[in-house]
Parts: sequence; structure tokens; C-alpha cells
Amino acid sequence: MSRPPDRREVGVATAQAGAVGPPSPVSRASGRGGLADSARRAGARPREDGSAVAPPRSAQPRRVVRVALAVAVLAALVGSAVVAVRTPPPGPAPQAAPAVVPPVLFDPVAPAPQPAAAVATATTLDVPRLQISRSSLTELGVDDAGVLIPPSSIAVAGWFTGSAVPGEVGPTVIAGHVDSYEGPGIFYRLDTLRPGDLVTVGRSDGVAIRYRVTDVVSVPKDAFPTRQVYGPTPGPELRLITCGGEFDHSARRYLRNVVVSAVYADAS
Amino acid sequence: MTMLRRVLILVAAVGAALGLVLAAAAPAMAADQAYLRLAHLSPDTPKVDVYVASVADPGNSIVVPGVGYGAVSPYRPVAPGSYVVSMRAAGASKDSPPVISTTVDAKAGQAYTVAGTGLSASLGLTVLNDQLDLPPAGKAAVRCINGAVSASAVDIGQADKQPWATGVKFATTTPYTDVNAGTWTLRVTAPGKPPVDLPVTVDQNSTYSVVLLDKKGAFSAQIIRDSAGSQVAPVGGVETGFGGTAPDPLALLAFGTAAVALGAVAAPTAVRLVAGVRRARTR
Repeated sequence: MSRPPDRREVGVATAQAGAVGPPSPVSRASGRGGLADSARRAGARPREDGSAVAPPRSAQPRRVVRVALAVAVLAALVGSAVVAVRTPPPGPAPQAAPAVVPPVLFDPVAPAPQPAAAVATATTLDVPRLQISRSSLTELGVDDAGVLIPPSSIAVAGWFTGSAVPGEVGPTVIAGHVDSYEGPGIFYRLDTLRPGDLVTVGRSDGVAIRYRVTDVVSVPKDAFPTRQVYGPTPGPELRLITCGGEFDHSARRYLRNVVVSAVYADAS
Repeated sequence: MTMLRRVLILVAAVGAALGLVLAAAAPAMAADQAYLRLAHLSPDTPKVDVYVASVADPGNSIVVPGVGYGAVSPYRPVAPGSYVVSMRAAGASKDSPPVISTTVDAKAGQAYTVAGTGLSASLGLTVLNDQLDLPPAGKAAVRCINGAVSASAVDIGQADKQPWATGVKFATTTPYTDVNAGTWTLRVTAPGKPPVDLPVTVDQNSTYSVVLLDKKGAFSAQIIRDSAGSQVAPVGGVETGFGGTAPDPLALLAFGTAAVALGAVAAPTAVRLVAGVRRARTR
């Protein structure tokens, strides 16, 4: 394996006679594994939508009865209109934490990105923990002000075409809606991803690039970490973005973004 | 206590709980990932075996055999932590004392090049912190690593322009400089030598190292991409939500108002009901 870090590289061009030796072979040592195991464990968690308050049945003091009755009648009347309260993201995952795939040291297999065909694009997304399977990706660009235009549908995520082709060195950026005016979008539970979770992005040339989640953060939109999201990376990385935090009802927008970062795991 | 007050207290308590949980779910930005790469830039040092061992996990140790002058490995993702990098003569026993070794404290979100530098007699292992900052729009960041003893001090820059670094000595590395993205000619000049021109194409938001090597008594230049960013870095965050699943204060207010209204209607009924039940029980 003596492939340069990435095909898009300017090339190991030599000014004078001939090329300098290729990058050194790198050792094949390694302890991989655990990927499949982790994938298995990365099943989705049950959704915890807010739901109507169940009125207590037993009612000795009349105050309680009054409240209970009022609430019960209310719940029945107002129904689903009121109770779409988004469950806040749990702190640590309540169930057993998924096995974290340890980064592999100098594994020749792991970081050797598949050279992307020049025309390759990101076409599908798999996020086992969110039960997203072979979901098609749209393509995203920026508007005149340079702001990323989100997908037009809340049901699919989009690949920012100005970001790296999956598997190439650099950040591949995918954004999806957390919700619509009425209910959850494709990235509704994005904030429940945990380090070690696996995410696969399929390319138009049939190659699938798998990434391993390294962190999940909530960041204020007015202090968006552009460098961490779009800045240079030495290897192929992935960013998944959606909205989160407080919803500003007057501006009709969420005040924060949830950003998931992931690094190259393997390709198939 | 009025019904309204009770509802408001309930709303406040739920709000506070939400706030607490949200605060707890917003950790600092920190990837659990660092990158490491190895280079052999000592012109008169024969091939070496490079050992990289994790201090925290000594079992997680690898050998890169037969690394020769001029080799720059691809980056490898590693867990953040301390790594001992050692060089032994190619083929030497792993139990023999290393020719040289150093410790790299690899921090999350950072990238490092560990290079054997200098002449063999004074061989050193240099740890370079590789820049991952986003260059200004339209710019790439380039630095020079001088591994050519035949070019003991060089000037480097875009041909026909002021060099961006001068007097770059053998076995030293310049900081990154922002340069225009695009295709142009890189020129390296050393006293008493013909200038070396290298046509390059550099992408904006990417970082590069120009590595100078001895080549048959002269020196040569090669450019390696260190890292690549998004070709375009969008401005600010992303609007990816319409609020349909957000807690709606208007709805909550409606809830409260409705609760009061209903309470007013339901209370007498409830009272009658309860009274009825009590009467029934006492009978």
C-alpha cells in the first residue's frame, strides 16, 4: 500500500529529475474488529415523544380530582395539538453505551480512502441508530449570501456539493431537517448518535464509505464553528448537521445546530 | 392556589427541566481523534524501521519497516494521547536500543508529522504540528520543510513574486503561509544553485507542505497535501428545522387558558361528583 493520501492530491511532482520515492509502505499491523458488533448494537432507540398527561385514577382530595378532571377533559379536547413537546435529548445514552470502535493505529486498511471517480457524488445515507436505511440524498448548495440551503424536503438529507466527495480527504457535509411545521424530520433524533456509531454514505459509483462517529455537539448558530465543520482535515471525515436547542417562535428558527463529526472507518 | 398558577408552575418546572437536560447535552466541541504521519528527511541516514507505540496502550504498537529518505507516509487516525516514536536501523531487533526516539502528545482534533531530520550524525526526530485552520477565502496554506542539505538556506515563493519565506535552513520548517489558490509556479532558490520551479495547483481551504530533498547532488521540491477543507465554506449555521416538534409557548398558553376555562366548568361538576361519591360512601 503506497498510495498517496488522496487522489485529488496535486501530486508528488518533482521539479528536477524524476519522482522522489513514493510514500513509505505502512505496516499491516492491526487490531481491527468490533465494527460489525458495534453496528449491531447501534439499533435505534424507542422514540420518546411527549404525550398527554395521564390523569390519576384515585382521587381522594377534591382538589386533585378537579385538576385531574380538568386535565383529562383538556387532553381529550385539545388533543394532539398541544402535546407536540419535543423530548429533550438524553444526556448519556440511557441504555448500554454502544461499543466504541477504537481508532486503529496505522492500520493500512482503515484510512486508505477509495479514490473517488471524478464525477462521484453522495447518493445514499445509512444511519442504523436512527433507522435511516438507504435514504436517498439530495444535493445542496449555497445561496447568494453564502449560506447553506437546506434540503427542500424534511424526509431526506442533502449532501453539500461544495464539500468533499465521500471517501476523499476533507469533510463531507450532510444536512437534514430536525422537523417540519408538523412533525419530525429525517434528523429528528440526530442528537442521540454516540461516539462509535457508524454512518455509511453511498456514492454514485457504487462505493460505500463508512464513518465512525467521534462526537456530537450542540452549537449556537450565531457562533457556528465553521472551522471545525468545513475546515481542512487530514483524512476523509463526515459532518451531519441539523437544528436543535431552543426554537425562536418569533423568528421561526431554532437557535442552535446539532453537529455530528465522524471519521473514515472503511469502504466497500 | 388558582388553577392558572398551578398550570404556570407546572409549565415552569417542565421548562426548567428541559433547560437542564439541554445544557447537559451540549458538551464542548472536541473530536476524539488525532492524526499522525511519519517522514524520513535525513539525507545520509539509511533506511530505518519506525516504531510507534501508544503510551496508554503499549500493546497498540506498530512498526513501519524500511522507511527510506524522502518518504512521507499518509496520515493515520489515532486516539488522542501520547505516542513514543522510535527509529532503529532497518532490520535491527526491536529489543535493541533505538537510534532515536521522541514522544508525541497527540491532541484531539490535531495532526502531526514526526520527521527524522538533520544529518545522521545529529539525527533528530522533529514533531511538526500540522495546521488545520481554515485559510481565508480563496487561499491555501503552504509551508516548506527543508530536508535537502544541498539547499542549506532557500527562498521559497511564487515565481516572479516576492518569496514568502527566505533563508529557510536545512532541517527546519517554516510556518504555514496563506497563498492564492489556483495553478501557478512555485520557485525555490538556493545560493549558487539554479532555481527549482514546480508547477502546482492548490485548492482553497487546503493546506500543503513543500518538501525539499537532495536528489543526486542537487535539490528537488515536491508538494504534498496535508489536509483538505470544504471547497466552499458556507456562512454560519444551517436552517434545518421548522419548529413543528419544538415546545410551543402559544400552545402552552392556550393550554393554560383552556385549563382555567375548563377548570371553571369542571370544578363544580367535580365537586358535585365527589360530593356524590362521598354521599354514596357514607350511606
